[in-house]
This record gives sequence, C-alpha cells and structure tokens, in this order.
Amino acid sequence: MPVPKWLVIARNEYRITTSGIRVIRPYFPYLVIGLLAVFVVFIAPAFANLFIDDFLAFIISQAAVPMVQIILFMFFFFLITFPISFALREVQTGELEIFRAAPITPSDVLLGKFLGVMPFYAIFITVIVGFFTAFLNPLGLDMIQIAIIIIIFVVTLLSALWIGTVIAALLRTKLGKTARGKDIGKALSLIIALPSIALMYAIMGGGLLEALADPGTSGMVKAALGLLPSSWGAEVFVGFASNPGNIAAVGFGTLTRFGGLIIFFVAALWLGAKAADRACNLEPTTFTASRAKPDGAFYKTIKYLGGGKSFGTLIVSIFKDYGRRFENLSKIAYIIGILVLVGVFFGDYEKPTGAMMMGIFCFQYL
Amino acid sequence: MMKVLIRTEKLSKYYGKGGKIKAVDELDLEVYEGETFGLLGPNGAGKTTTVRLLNCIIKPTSGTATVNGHDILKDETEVRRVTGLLAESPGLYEKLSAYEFLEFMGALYDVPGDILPERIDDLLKLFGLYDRRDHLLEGYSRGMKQKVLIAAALIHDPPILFFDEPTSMLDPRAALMVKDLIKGLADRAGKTIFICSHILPIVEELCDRIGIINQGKLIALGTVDEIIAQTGTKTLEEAFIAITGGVEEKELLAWRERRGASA
Repeated sequence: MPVPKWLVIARNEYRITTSGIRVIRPYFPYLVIGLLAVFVVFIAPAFANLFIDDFLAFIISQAAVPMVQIILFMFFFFLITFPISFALREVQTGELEIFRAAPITPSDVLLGKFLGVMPFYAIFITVIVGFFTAFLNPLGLDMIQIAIIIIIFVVTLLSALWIGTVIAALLRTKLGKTARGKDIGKALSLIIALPSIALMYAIMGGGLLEALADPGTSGMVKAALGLLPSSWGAEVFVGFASNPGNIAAVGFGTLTRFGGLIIFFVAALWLGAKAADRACNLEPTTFTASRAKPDGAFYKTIKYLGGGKSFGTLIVSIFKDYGRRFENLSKIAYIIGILVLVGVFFGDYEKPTGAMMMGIFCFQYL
Repeated sequence: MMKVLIRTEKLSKYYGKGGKIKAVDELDLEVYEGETFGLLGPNGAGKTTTVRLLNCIIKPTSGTATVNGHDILKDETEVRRVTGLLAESPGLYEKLSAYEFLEFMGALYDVPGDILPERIDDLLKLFGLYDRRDHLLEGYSRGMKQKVLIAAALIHDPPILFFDEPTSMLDPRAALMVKDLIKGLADRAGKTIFICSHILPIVEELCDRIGIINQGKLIALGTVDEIIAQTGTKTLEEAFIAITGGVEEKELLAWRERRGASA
C-alpha cells in the first residue's frame, strides 16, 4: 500500500529541517524527549516552587483571568505569526511547481508541511504546557482537570499553528509570483513581529499587571479578549485553579468553552483544507510591472546637493534603489517602532539625551 | 499509423482584464509516440504556459488537451502520473542529498519501495552522480543540479517527458551533456519528449519536428527542413526570424548614427 502523500511530504520537511544535525538525526527525537521529560518532571516544578506563593495570590485576584487570557493570546498570536514571518523571509514558489506536477492534492501539501515542522513546535508547546502544569500541580488539581488543561493548551496552540501555516502558504503563493510581491513579503516578515513585541513590552514594563488589578480595566480586557478562541481556555484554567479537585463547580462553563475550542480547531482544519487549492495555486496574478515616476523635488534636490553631475546621479541612484525596496523601508519602520515601544513602556524620554542614545543604539541595526 | 500521445484542441490561456493577454491562443497540436517535439518561440511567446497547461499545473481558459489519452481537465492525477517535468526554474531542496531528493520524488510518484533504491542507484550511475549521492545538493554545480532534476523527472519512468528550457542556464559543457542525455533518452529509451526552448541549435539537433509559437499562436509546424523550405531561408535561425519578426542590424545601430556617436 502506498504511503500517504502528506506523510511523504512531512518526512521530507523533517529531513530538511534536521539537515544541519544529520549526524545525530537518528537519536535526535530520543534526545529531545529525554530533555523535555527532565524539564517537565524536575526543572519546571522546581521553578514553579520558587514563585508558588505569588502564584496563589495571583490566581484568586481580579487580574487572573485577563492575565491568562493575555498570555494565551500572546502564544496564540506568536504561533500564527511565526510561520508567516518564516515563510515570507524567503518567498519561493519553485518547489510548489514540483508538487503541482506530481499526482498529489494541495491539501496533502499543506498538511504535510504542517506536520513536518510539528515536532519542533511540539517542543515549544511542551515547554509551555509543562510550565503551566507545574504551577497547577501544587494546587491539588485532579487528573481530569490537569488533562483538560493540557488538551486546551495543545488544541489552542495547534489551532494557531495551523492558521499560521495556511496564511503563510496563501501569502507565499500570492507574493512569490512577482519581484514586488517578494519584496513586500520580506518587509512584512519583519513588521509582523511588532504587535507581539508591543504586547511583551506592555507585560514586562508597562504595568499591565497593576492595571488589570483595577476591576474596570480587567473587565474591559476580559470582555474584549473573551471573544477570541485563545481566551476560552483561560477561564477554564483559572476556574480549575480556584476549585481544585472539584470539576463540577465549573462544569457547564468548562464544557461550553472546551467544546467551543474543539469546534474551532476542527473548523480551522476544514477551512484550511478548503483553502489549500488557493494556497498552492501557480496561476499568474499580475503582468503589471512597477514603473518609475519622473524625479520629483526630493531627488532633484539630492542631485543638486551632490554637485548636479555624475556624483549627484550616483547618490540619487543609491537613494532610489534603497527607497524602492519595501524591505529597507520596513527595517526603518521596525526600528522606529521599537524605539517608540521602548519609550512608551520602559524609557524615560523626557531628557533628549535618552532618546538620542536609544536612537543611536537602535539605528546601528540598519 | 503513429499513435498521438499529446493532442491539444483549441487550448487557450488568457490573462488580465477581459482576457486581454493571450498567453496561449487556440493551440491545436499533435505529438506522436516516441517523437522528440520542440516548441520554439521568443521569450514570453507562451512556451512555458503550454507546458504548465499540459502538466495540469494551471488550468486553461478554454479548450482542452489529452496526454496519453487522459484529459487535462478531467484526469489531472493520471496526466501527472504519465508525465515527467523538468521545469524552467524548479525548486530544488538544497539541504537534501541527491539520493534523498530522488527518494522523495519517487515516493511522491508512488514508485514501490522495493524497487525505488535500485532505480535511484541506476539513475545516479547513468548521470555520473553515484559517487556524490550523499552530498547535499547545495554543493552541486548548475549542470549537476540539472542532471538531478532530469533524474527526478525520470524516477517514475513516465512515457512522456517535458523539458522546459533544459539548457538555458547552463554553460556550454553542461549544455552539451544535457543535450546528449536527452538524445539518449529519445534514442535508447523510446520516450516521447516535448522540449521548449529558444536555443535553436539544441532544438535543431534534437527534435524530429518543431512548432514555432509567437504571442500564444502556433505559427509554424513541421520538420526543420520543412520550415526552412516554407520560409525560403537557408537556416533555422533565419526561418525563425522570418516567422517571428526581428530587428535588422541596420535598425539596431541607427541610434549611433542619429547622434553621431559612431566616432
């Protein structure tokens, strides 16, 4: 019986990803599983014990639900954006031609690519789940409660990863057909990280935890994030943590949110499979080439300042080549974004020297 | 009577608003079993689009085609099983070895596991790559990569092979090697080969019949001698220019004379 095509593609993806460690490839899964077991059984509980008193105070506080919602949303958003950012860095459609010429379906391609990188995301998911389980363990949760929480985390994060994989495939196919599209892809791969960074900075230095202690703010965040599937597990998590060993206390809420999450996951899988044909489509989208406009006042001034002759033309050419690449513009936008975020959440930009120092520090990355 | 392996019937592919751009326009063509057919044309003439249509990579706007008796609109999977494609700019998994890449391609085309290793070894020996079978493709020269891609197109032993610009990116030595390979496949393995190219000597030497396509329209069809005779020229190059139109040397250099730049 022939091997399913999605499995062939998944194996190939795994091979490519582990190409750098081909010498230890046969032992790699055992090594990773061993290390993860050590983390889950020893390291995570030891770490959790250090902060268990703070955690107990937090879990009964006003901020608990919205904070867990935010953390889950952050992981959810990260797992959506990571495959997109990774795929857009090097937009290629050449390999797609191999797949489209072979007797396989587009959904085989999408599922195979998703499962091929899954082992590596599974490491990330295991670390996150292991960490949260370690905090819950001392509370006296029963096995069913812990199992439900683990499933909730896994399903939430897998949904995000699948959505990210599908969006990445759609964007890669759409943008990979033209030079301009590839440039836009590279620009997006950088910019897409900014919202995650903003959220992280807000938690780290923006006093988000203190703000959530306020019932008004907390309620607002809870209501807003509550609409997102990533948040549905948060209330189950906090509900179980507040009622250890008593699943009946939050039985109905658990059932609806857990069920909703499973339905969302299945729907995401189904919609992704439906979008597979579009994600593997090699039909040309445009034949319009970008056109250069006649030089405006800016370039004319630059040329004039450069002496107006060959040297001026050379400078203007460099400006044009740099400025017409979205990738370069996105780098500038990214650095400015980081500068603003650091200023808002950590910095003290009241003194001009502080802003200048930060600017000098950030702009060297250009 | 010779068996027709590829037949197109008013095959068309239009792009843009209202189908303004006619990449392939009502193409009627027959390619016979065991023949090497060349589709010639200038850049943007519609050669690659034709190959992509015949390999079910894209769908026609109108018309249809059969490949080995399978309709490209109804039996996509069967069409893909009976064809091998060397694309113009194919993706190659640089982080795989030649063996791993061919193993992957074999699995995609359902080559049984018990015969796949032997077939890969045979192909690698045939293309002189056996000693480097475990080297990553990122370290291969362009000619060697092309050999691997041709081996990949042959991995499931299809009766029909499509080669889209097989030598355009290669240096003369690698181009000669690829040309000899294609010739060997046609002569010894009896494959039906469909070559797209704008490199006339390659097509002239390899193909039994050629078709010339320009702006999506098939404008000439026959053997090289027939096409030369039809145009009243002496070489295929002259015939090609006569059919597709070209700029004469006099016109090319006119700008120098206008500006007095010849000095």
